[in-house]
Amino acid sequence: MGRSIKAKERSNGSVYLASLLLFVSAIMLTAYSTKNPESARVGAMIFDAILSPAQNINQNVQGSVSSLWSSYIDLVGANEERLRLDQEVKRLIGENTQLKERLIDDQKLRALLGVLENSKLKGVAARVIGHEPSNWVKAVIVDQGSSAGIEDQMAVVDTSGLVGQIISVGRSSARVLLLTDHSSGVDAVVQDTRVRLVVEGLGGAVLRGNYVSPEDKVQVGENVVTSGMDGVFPAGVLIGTITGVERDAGGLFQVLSLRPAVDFAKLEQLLIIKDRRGKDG
Amino acid sequence: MGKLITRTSMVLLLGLAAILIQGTVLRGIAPSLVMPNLMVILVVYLAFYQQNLLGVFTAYLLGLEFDFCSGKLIGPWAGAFVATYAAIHALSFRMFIESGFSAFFTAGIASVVANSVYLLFALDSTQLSFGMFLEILIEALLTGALAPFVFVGLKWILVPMAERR
Repeated sequence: MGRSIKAKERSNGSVYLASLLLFVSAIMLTAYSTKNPESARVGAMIFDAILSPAQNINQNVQGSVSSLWSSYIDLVGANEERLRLDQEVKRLIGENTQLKERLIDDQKLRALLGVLENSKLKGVAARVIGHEPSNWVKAVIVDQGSSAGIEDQMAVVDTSGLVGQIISVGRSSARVLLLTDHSSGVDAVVQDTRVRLVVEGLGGAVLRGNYVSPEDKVQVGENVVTSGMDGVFPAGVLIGTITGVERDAGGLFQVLSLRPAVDFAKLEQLLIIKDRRGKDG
Repeated sequence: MGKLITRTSMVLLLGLAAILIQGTVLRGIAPSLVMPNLMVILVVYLAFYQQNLLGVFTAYLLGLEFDFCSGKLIGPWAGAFVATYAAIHALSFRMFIESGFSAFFTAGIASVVANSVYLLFALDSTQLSFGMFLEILIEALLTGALAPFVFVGLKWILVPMAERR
């Protein structure tokens, strides 16, 4: 009995020792990947290659389920004649819903193409097929990868404005770090006054504009656009609207609150800009 | 030994499934809301039912899986899951996880530990905010609420029929 307790205590001791060693190795890995971000991207590429087929299937299944649900909702309150033709109507409504979805997709793609034509930039349309599973990283996975010419650090927009940038690329999928992520930063200007600032994500629905000199006049309601000076994002893409201005804790700069132009909860069709530096537009 | 390795491989495959479910099905329902963390539930399960070196190493590998899929940093979730495993392992000598409430409580605690350690690893102090504290609490509640059901599923998958009887 005593021996068994001792063996158990020894086993627990080795578990805690192993935990400590693995914890230290995790710290070292974190430090290494902070200095070498490409190491994390390689891992993400492998994962996306494994998971993107399943994500594609899931996206299609979700579309079908939503079509069926819409069909059901449409059928509630249907008249007697429609009830008699229940099976046929269900099928037709299902088809109709799918066609409507395709039409909406088509309209969104046309709108994205319009963005390209107006800005004279080259780009590729992509569909969101998955999201980052952790609550602390804001990223989505899209269905275009290196086979479509996508590369790291390409800018991503939708019809409303700037979405983020590519951080890892697989053959048929890529990961987009959203503007709202804590590690996102964009060189920007206030559209009318050309005041320079850096827009950063806070992990939520609000963005922060930093490094605005106290002498610069900025007002609530003004639009903020990309400056094109960081070599990643083309100039003139709408980021958001200023919703608040205050002095930072040290009083050296003004800090702006921004409402993003893009609704990050409803990302579906995106446009990946293939030009590294675009012209205004 | 072969059985243990098979079980560990299955836990890692379940980790992939958890990542897929969190990133597609759950996020598909509400992309901008806080989600329960299925990986944390897996780590709690390991801390209770695989109390050996392989258990802590599997928790570490689960963390690496989660890190790799973020494409940002390698290590924060690995460290967070190892710390969570150790904390829940210590707790496991004082409670049983068989009841729904204790599963809820343990998974909630594990979620708070995992997220707190992750934030210490991944963010600097200027990025921490009160909103994050609320997010941690909400995730802990959601993860805890889901844990009793996930444990039933995990037992069904990971424990052979004969052992279950």
